[in-house]
Amino acid sequence: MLIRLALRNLLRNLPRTLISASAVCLGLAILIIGDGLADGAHNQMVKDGIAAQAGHVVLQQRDWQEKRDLNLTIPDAAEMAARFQSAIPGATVVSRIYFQGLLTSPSGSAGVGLSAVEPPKERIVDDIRDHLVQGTDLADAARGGAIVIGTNLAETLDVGIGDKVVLMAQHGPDIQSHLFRVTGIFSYGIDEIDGFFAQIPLRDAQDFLGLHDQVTQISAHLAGSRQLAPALSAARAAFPEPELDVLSWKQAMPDLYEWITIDSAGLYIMIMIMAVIVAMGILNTVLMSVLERVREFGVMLALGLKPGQLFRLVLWEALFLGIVATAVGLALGLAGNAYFTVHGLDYAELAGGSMEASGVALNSLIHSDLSPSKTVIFSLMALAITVISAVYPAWRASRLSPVDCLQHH
Amino acid sequence: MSIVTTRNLHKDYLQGSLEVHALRGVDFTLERGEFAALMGPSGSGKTTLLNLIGALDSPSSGEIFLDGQDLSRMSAAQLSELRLRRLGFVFQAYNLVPVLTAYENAEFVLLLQGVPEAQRRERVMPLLAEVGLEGMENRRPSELSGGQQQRVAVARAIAGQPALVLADEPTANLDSKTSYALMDTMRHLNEEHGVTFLFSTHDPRVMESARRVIRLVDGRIESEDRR
Repeated sequence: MLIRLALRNLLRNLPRTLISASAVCLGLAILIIGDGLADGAHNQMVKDGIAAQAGHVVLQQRDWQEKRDLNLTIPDAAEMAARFQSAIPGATVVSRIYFQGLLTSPSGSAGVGLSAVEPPKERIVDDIRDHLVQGTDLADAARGGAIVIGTNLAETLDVGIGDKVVLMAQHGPDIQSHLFRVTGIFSYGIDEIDGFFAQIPLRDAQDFLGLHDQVTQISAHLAGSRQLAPALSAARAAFPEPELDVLSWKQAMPDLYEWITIDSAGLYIMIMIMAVIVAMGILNTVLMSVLERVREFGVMLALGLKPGQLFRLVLWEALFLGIVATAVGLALGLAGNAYFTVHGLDYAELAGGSMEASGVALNSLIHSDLSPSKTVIFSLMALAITVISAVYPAWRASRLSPVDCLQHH
Repeated sequence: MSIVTTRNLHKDYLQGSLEVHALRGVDFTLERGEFAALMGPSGSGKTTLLNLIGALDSPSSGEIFLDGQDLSRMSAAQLSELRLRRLGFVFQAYNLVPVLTAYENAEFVLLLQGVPEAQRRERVMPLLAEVGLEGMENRRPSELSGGQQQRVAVARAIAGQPALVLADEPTANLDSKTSYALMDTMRHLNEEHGVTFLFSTHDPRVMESARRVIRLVDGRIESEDRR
């Protein structure tokens, strides 16, 4: 009987019920879409960051992370990479040397951050080829001494495809220099990357810097981040040497990890604020509907309805409201999420330019990546907020005195 | 055999800063099967007395016995159960649940009593016919006239087979023709089913249908007439 009454009471003032339901419904839909896009953006950033700057699991000399010193290299790199590969068999293992130098052309010079890579393997893990605006990547370069630079750097040095540049870098007491030829020019649309970053073949860097069979980092790129924990354990077990560090991407790129953590925290704060606003709205409408029915509740209490039954009646109303609003909100959220999963959302268009966080270029087209578990949690949260918001009005209703209610006008 | 006995019943309450003495020592007994009217001007204490007898309010002092049970010794839950099982109410403003049909309003108390559906239908359908609402079972209160709504309220009040029906000015919102028809219905139920009725009114013509009239003035019983 209480259920029938609750359902009919909801239909009694349909505009009010719809307004209350729409608050929950839209709140949930926005939450699902927003979280899907945020996770999509974060996952894309992690993927790009892992591809270009580290790996899911990285092997480095202890202290490399802080000092970035070319004296802190991994010796016997080929053998170490093979060991790393056998510790994590399914991964793509690449070796790199990261260093900084000065790039000079007849027209000018600029400081650069260099990544010396194994061209054919690097193509598997990074996306530089997708951002080439002129020329080829290192894997397609016909000979050694190739360099791939960004558009801004090319502009600063006033060089194009086939032009020569001289790279100077210090290792030990002497400054080394080497002639490179520009084979490719890329554009990520991010000034810091397009104006500073350059890629050269690993072998050239080793020859030029005198680092034979040495690298600064060996990294494993996994098919998905779910395999991170077992891969990390396996790599740590395989490299017990105290002078070596086996790090996860979170440790290897602490700035990026921290940025994502703060961004996620910001999102959760927004969720909490939204939840409070929705809860206040529900509380207000349910309380209003209770106060409007004081006389009716008084009659029911006079006829023998127990205060507990009245309490449950108001909660049933909120529960049904919550179920319908959550179901519609979930459907809207999933539909919106499906759209953004397929078509993506162009952040650059919204923000009026490309985006970057902690040195990682953010792909301007963000594809939603919704977590099923979070969707379930958000839906249950929406339902719980609706019901919990009705507890106080329900309690107020259950405390009504029949005689006072009957005198209520 | 008495169904209600009150002894030296007092009820005081504050209206703003003013203390109102609504009842000033009411001694009164109602026998089973009576059809009695409480008569008196506004503010004489009729509604207060009905609320106290109906276990909706508690007295400032004095005692009320319903079917021999002292109401002052009962908890809120026991009083709620007593109202459900032993009392029926008819209010001045009909007070039907607007989202329920006439049938559902009439069966409301039976539902609270936990009576199975088949028995509820068996009891409610003839009752609605008896109060002249045959064929209107599925109408909502908004689709019924004032008189029809009050008939539903009467059916609701007696559906649970209470020992006593308390009606607070049941005809106050009805025209005279509808009022007499309602009083006839109540009296019929009293005579045919033995339901005890105690109702308040200030309409002298409605009072005519009562077999006992208790006149209240300033919170005291001034006089009684039996017919």
